[in-house]
Amino acid sequence: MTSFQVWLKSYNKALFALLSILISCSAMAQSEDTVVLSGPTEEVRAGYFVVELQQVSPALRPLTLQVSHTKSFSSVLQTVPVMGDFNQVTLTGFESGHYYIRAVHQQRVVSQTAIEVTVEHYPIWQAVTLFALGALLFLLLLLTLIMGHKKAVRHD
Amino acid sequence: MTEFALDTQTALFIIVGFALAWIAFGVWLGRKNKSHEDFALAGRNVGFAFAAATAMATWVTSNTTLVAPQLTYQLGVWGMVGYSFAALGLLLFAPMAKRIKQLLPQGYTSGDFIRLRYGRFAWAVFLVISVVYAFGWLVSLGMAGGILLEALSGLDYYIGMTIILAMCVGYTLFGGLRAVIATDFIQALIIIVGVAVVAYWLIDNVGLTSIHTELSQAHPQLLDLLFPAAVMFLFNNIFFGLGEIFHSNVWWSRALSFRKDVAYKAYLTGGLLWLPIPIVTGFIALAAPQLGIFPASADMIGPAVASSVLGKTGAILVFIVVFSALASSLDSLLAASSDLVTQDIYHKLIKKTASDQQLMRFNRYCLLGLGVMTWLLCLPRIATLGALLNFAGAFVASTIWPIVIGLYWRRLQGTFAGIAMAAGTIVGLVAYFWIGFYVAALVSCAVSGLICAIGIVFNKRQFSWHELQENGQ
Amino acid sequence: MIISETAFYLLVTGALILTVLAPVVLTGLFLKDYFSKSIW
Repeated sequence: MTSFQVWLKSYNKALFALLSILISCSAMAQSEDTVVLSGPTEEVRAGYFVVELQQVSPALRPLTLQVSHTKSFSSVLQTVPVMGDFNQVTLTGFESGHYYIRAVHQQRVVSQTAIEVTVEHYPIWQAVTLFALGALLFLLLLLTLIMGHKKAVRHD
Repeated sequence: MTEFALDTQTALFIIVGFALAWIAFGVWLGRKNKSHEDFALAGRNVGFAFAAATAMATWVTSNTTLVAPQLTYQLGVWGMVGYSFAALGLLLFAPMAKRIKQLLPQGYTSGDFIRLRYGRFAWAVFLVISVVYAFGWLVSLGMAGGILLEALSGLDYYIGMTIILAMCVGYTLFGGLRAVIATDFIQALIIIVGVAVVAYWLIDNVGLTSIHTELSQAHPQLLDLLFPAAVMFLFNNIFFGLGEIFHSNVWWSRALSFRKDVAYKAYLTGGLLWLPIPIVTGFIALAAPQLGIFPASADMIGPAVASSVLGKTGAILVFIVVFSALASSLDSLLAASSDLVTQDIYHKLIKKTASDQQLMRFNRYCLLGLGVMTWLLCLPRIATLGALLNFAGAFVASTIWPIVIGLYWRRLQGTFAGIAMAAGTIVGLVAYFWIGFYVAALVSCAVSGLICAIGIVFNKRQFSWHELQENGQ
Repeated sequence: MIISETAFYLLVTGALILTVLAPVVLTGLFLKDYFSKSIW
């Protein structure tokens, strides 16, 4: 092996090492700079749901979530602070519709992509039917109890 | 690093202090216990004040201080109002308590009644339901104790869970039902004062108008009176509560321990006093968005708001309230379950000739055994086990009709009552898995009621109330 | 259908007043039982 070949080999090794460092640094930088959000994949039926946060580095705290009707976040409906160093937040009180959620740290968007959540409440007829059936059964029970109690008092 | 609302040392100091004080109180109250009746039923002579307080305090479980705010955070105004309808369980049990005391002046447990009124088949089904419910509740309370104390103060789960269980077993072991009832009275006062202080602070400092405005702008669904999920859940929750109270020996042993003529008004007063509490604890959760508090999981909303608005004092207050709520239910359940095992299994199946002293000794061993078993089941810390109580609704709601009919009418016979409870439970469970949590108790109660109705139509034999009086009792 | 502010106000303050009454009622009942020696 000539001295040039030796030099080339060590040069290649150094280049490879440098590249590896650079790649790992950029990966680290990416994971330290961004947060991965995940939410419910199916339709939300009762207006509340949990958003999970992954790969949150301490440098990104305090973290807030922004909720919007549009993917461009042209108008933000809600700004939700993430509590302490928890990695999930329970959001609540949503009407039926599509919502986009992203994570923000010091006015900088830090979520890799915004997540989309669809809220679709149960139809009101279904709720009212169950309510009426429950009320009927309850009324029957109440009447049975009142009749029984009166009968027992009479026999005293 | 997570910052806890309360530092671990203060938390440990509070719970060890409370544990020692309660156990000493239990020992002091236990001096009066001379017979098994004294130990298990406080001498059957509990006065009105303690009777009303224990009815209310036992129903103020950790659920009232944690689940009511959770449901309100999730389902809004209907969540808190719907939860407060669980008071119907206590209110409707009032006439039944009077009837129970009348029919079974010497009775001990709810199992006693089912066995004498419906026979062994229905009794076996009833015991399975009671055991599933009691263990589900015991384990979920034990675990909730450990998890909550850890969440509030960083106190190790195993230490918190062990201390709260050991304390409840300790004072019940020495003082029996007397200790359970007397501690319930004090715990009830602590819980009410605690939640009222937090709610008043919120109204005074945040204001109802600003809470209403914030919610109607950013979370309108929480103020919606036609919130579908909340409307659907309402009656299911009511039947769940009725089933819990109507079947459980926790409530029967209390009815039997109260002085004559006290049972009816004690349950009525207890129910009326309980009614507004979930609205107050639930309201605490509605203030959360205005304060910028969005919890990691919905069940932490109550403690999160309270400790955030009141600082360290609030954290201590929340800690004591939650601890008292857990203890006031855990002790009752331990005492009532060991009575059920002692009376229904040991005395009726294993040793029919057991003397009074033997029964008292067995009851104490049983209490200790139940405590150890609960502790062992709490060790794996299966968080999802809390969900166990969700489908317990299918079990307990199936007992509502057989108990109500059995107490007042003579036409329903054991086979139908047993089938009603078994079929109600099975169909309720199927509905839980196929349709959803919001129908389990409703379906179970409807199916069981239908079978009871068929039983009444096809049965000609009338039950004689004298059969409820056992020889020697 | 959103609950009106007045109804919301009445619901919460009403519940709070009733809740605060509970310890007063319970203590009163306790004292009555205590002086008539009918606690147990």
